[in-house]
Amino acid sequence: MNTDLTTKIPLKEHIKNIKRIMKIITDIDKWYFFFTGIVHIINVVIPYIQLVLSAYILDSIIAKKDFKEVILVIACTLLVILVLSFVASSIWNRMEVRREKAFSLYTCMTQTRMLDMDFSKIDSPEIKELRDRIRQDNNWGAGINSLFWQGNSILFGFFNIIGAVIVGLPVINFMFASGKYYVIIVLVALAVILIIAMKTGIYFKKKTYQFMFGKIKEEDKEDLITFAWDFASGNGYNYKNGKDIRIYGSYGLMERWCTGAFKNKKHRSRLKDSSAGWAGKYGAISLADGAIEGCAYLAVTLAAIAAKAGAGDIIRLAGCFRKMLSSAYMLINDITEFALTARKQASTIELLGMQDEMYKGKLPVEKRSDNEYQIEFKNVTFTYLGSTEPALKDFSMKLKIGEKLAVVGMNGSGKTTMIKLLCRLYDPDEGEILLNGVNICKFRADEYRQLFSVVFQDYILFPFRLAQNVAASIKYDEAHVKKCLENAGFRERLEEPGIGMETYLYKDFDDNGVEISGGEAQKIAIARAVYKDAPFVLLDEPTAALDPLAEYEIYTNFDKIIDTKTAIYISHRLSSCQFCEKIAVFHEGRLVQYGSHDKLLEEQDGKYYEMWNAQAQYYKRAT
Amino acid sequence: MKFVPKHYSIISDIIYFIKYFHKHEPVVLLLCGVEIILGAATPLAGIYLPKAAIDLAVQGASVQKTVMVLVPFTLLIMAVYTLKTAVSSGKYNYYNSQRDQLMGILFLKSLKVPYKYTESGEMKKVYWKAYDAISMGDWSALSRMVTGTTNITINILCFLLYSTVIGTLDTWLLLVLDVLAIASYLLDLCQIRYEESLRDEIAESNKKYYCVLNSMGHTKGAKDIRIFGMNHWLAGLRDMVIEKQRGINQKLYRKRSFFEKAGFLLGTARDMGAYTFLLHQAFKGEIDAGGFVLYFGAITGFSGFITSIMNSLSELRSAANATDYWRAYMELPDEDTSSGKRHTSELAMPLKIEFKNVSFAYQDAGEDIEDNIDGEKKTVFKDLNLEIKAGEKIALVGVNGAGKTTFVKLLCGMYDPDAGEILINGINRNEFPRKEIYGLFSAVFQEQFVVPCTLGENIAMDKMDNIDEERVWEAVSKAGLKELFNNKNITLKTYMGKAIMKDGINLSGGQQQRLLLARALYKDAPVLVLDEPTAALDPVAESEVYNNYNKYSKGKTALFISHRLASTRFSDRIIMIENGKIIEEGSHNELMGLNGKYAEMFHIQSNYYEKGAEG
Repeated sequence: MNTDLTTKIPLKEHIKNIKRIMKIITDIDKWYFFFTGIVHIINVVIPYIQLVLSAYILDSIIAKKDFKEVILVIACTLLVILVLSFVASSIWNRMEVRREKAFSLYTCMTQTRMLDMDFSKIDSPEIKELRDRIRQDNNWGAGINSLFWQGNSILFGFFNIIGAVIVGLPVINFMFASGKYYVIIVLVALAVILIIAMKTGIYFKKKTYQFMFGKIKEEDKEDLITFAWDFASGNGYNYKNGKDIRIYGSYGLMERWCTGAFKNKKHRSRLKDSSAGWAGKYGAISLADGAIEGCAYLAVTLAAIAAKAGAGDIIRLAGCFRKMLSSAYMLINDITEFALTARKQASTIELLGMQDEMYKGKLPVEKRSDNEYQIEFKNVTFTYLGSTEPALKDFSMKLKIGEKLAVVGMNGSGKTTMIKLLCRLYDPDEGEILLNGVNICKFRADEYRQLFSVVFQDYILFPFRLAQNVAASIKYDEAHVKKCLENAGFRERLEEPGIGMETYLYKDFDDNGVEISGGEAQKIAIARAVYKDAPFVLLDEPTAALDPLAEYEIYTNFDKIIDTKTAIYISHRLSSCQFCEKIAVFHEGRLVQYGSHDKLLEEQDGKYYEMWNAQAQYYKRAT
Repeated sequence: MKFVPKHYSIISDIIYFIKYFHKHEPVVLLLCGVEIILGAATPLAGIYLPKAAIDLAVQGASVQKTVMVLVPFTLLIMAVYTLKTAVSSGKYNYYNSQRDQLMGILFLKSLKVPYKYTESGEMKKVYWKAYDAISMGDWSALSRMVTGTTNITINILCFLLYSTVIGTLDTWLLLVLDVLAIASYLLDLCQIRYEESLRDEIAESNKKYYCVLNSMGHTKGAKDIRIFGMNHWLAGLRDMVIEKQRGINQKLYRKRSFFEKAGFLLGTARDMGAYTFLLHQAFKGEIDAGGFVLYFGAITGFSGFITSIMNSLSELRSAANATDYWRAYMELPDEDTSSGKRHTSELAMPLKIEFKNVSFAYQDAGEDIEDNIDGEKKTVFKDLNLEIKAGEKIALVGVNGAGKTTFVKLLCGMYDPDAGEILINGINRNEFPRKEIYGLFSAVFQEQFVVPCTLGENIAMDKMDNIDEERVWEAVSKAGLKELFNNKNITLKTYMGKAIMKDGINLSGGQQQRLLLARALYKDAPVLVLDEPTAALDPVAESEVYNNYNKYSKGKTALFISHRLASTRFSDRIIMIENGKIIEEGSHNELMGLNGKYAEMFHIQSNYYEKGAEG
């Protein structure tokens, strides 16, 4: 797969790209191009009618025909044109609505694919790279709209040529029939100019592609890359970071990285070259245009004089000749642009066609009212893609029903990885995870995941209605949502005016949305986990953003929240483990200690003892 | 407080951008000038060529004469067409790339204005509108200003030239055509008005569409989506917004079709009139066949120019509205950071800082989410008095929203008190240049800010040339990162993240926090402020920071803010604030003795550790 748009690919590849994208487009809207085709035919026909009409009038003037008769012909012809225009306008504007919808449907396809793709894939460097490429490929142009526009342009050009040939065929005959060498010279000269224009156009087009899609050379990056767009748009920069820049007097550093590149010689010469590319690319098209227009009149006039043809013939013939050539020329241009557009969509199609790799189990998960589910990790080893060290090594652990387990360990000890494997976001490389003795891969993934309520460390709330966020669906049980929010400690905020079940979170989706603090977001995330009412509750640092009192509130509610469910609780603050019967200590991807708090403290050379003392020393009674 | 930007006229905006290009990219102005001249010539060539050809044919001119007339004509047309397009496309690339620089200028401006503007909800809106004025590609105010100005000039010139052509035939005809053109203008105006009335609705529905899209494609959110089965929810929302878009588009295009048809009717009437009139003239012998072609071309072209002029005008008008926001933001006064009667160099170290009757309220919603959650001018501090003694180590504690972050912002000089004063060694801090006040603080704020440039630049927060490498390494080693960097062969020239260099490094949350600590240590300012510096650290690393805190803050005045009350043990004094008031202060033992709020919070946190210690 060639990922660089600036390189040459064989024709076969182009055809494949076009076929694949056209299949998707016809799946979205089967008849779009059929109907716009009708519009194009009308739009091709109208100018020819006008041309023929002009020629007729000219001839009538010269021949001094009856005034009234000519006016009648003109009136009838204009009426026909008017009716045709009305029909075309009606169809076209209806098709515009469909094109806009097709654009929306197509543009969201990659994101929709993200909804059901293997999580391990989404998180993989491969997909990240592919998504970056999709973004890069759609950086210039109007995405799939380009494809519609160019497709229409090609259809129009195609009909235009047919029309020109039908109406203008006599032109060719006429010119060659004149047999005059100077007419032939004009035609040959025109052909030469067109070839030159075409070649020049291609040369400059390649040059502009180099700037639009080509990658910046490693050694030029320091001089050319800027953070202007990223930082101005809040990507990698938060307006609150302005504090750091002011305190540390870093305006100069920011200037260097945001506008510094523009004064750079490399940047200036790059800009000059790319501008020349743009000028050449489009200038060449106009060169052909001008040559066709001028030579059409020149050749036709010369031939007409030789053949003693009338003024009407010149208008008609020159018009047809011009249309024929310019549509042929434009058609070639359009087709190459179309091929590029199709090629730009190849990355999108690649993503859409990405095959899932995780084993897709078919077994239904038995719904048990007694929640008698038992989980066992058996010699599980797992390494993240692109990493050399396994995150979990030969890891074994049993989770008993109704048990409250605390998981502690240093940063990077594999705690969160264990949670992710348990939820089947990843599959183990070695070993297996069993649910009531059955490998979890064998279950239907969506049913299996229904067993878990999780609050991840980096949980996300979506900018939609509060209640929908809690219920994770469009429909929700209002009383239950309210109860869950209250249990999670959100009651105070809920009593304030201006916030209710229907209120949007944040202002991304709705301008009337409310801002929420980090602590409140965490409470909503907890409420979401409570609402789900799953037999397993997994909490990964759920109180990190909360102050001691709010944290305490959650803890005291915790028994109520998790009730008789099985719970796993990850925290840096060992004090948070107080309501857990058992503590599992992770170190470098292994389970190194397991047992009650008292038992673990007895092992004075153990990891737990070390961590405990690191924190507890500050809390022991003041002396 | 609603901010309404000053309204500038279109002419004033055009001059504004001409001045900008004159300064940054004068070639754009030159290219625009050339394009205007060529643009006006192009259509004329298009109507005179057929006339010339027909005249020659009707006269039965010789081959030689035909060649003599038409070949130069053809060459001229080729040259004019080519040059016009080349100039226009080259110009496009030049001005379009200026948008990158303008982005940088906008961002840098946000660093120059007083910090409070970057937090204010109203000012944020102005910032984002200024951002839109540049960011929206060919729809950006900049692009539309350039193309609109060029096009309107070309079309006015063409209008005048064509008027002359038609005027030579019949001045009455010109009048009739003007009336027809005005009718078609009114039609256009109706359409533009209608589409403008839908614009907000369209923008809103597009915003919603992309918002749902971003939610569906959220990499981090993918976990939550799977666990909670949110795919149905998000897909449902997607279908709803697409249906909404379709409804609006249906309205829009139905109206568009209506206006198109009205335009066709008007055009047909014009053509019919033109044919009749010209035919009549021709039959009377006033004009010949060539003349007929010329004038008919001029008449049909004529109304096109009026339409184009009107379109350009409405483009310019809406671009001017967007430009108002851009100019409003750029014309915000810069913060005065350099004037002051005194210099901080004369201050005795360590510093004594005093808050005297300080009152403070945020001016509008959205300024500080943690401390100003309800928005709307909430008073955070009222008559706050606090003295931090020279070299004292203070711990600031309180629940979320108590006013801790606001206190830090006031302290560091990001905000000024509404009433009362902040004294440094007894001198009102406003007597010092603000830049020097900033220089007094080394701070680690809650929001981790790592710039995707080199490690050295990140620690020194300055350009590579101005870095004292030895001191950078010293700070790195104090912050406990030296071993890691040595092991991984990381130098000061290594890039952070992979945005620029493929061999850049990604640091974990904990490592990043140490990096920020190194930044504060490198600056080595007289006051050290640490706002929740251990949130992302595991217990052992956290304990390390605590153990080193005394070393970091030696000889300095220091402020430590943390949820974890353990951190208060190595501070000289603890300040507990609630709702913007100091409710308790003193040493740990004193506060425990009070048995108040602090003691309650401490018990809650220490409960388990104590039990563990006893058990």
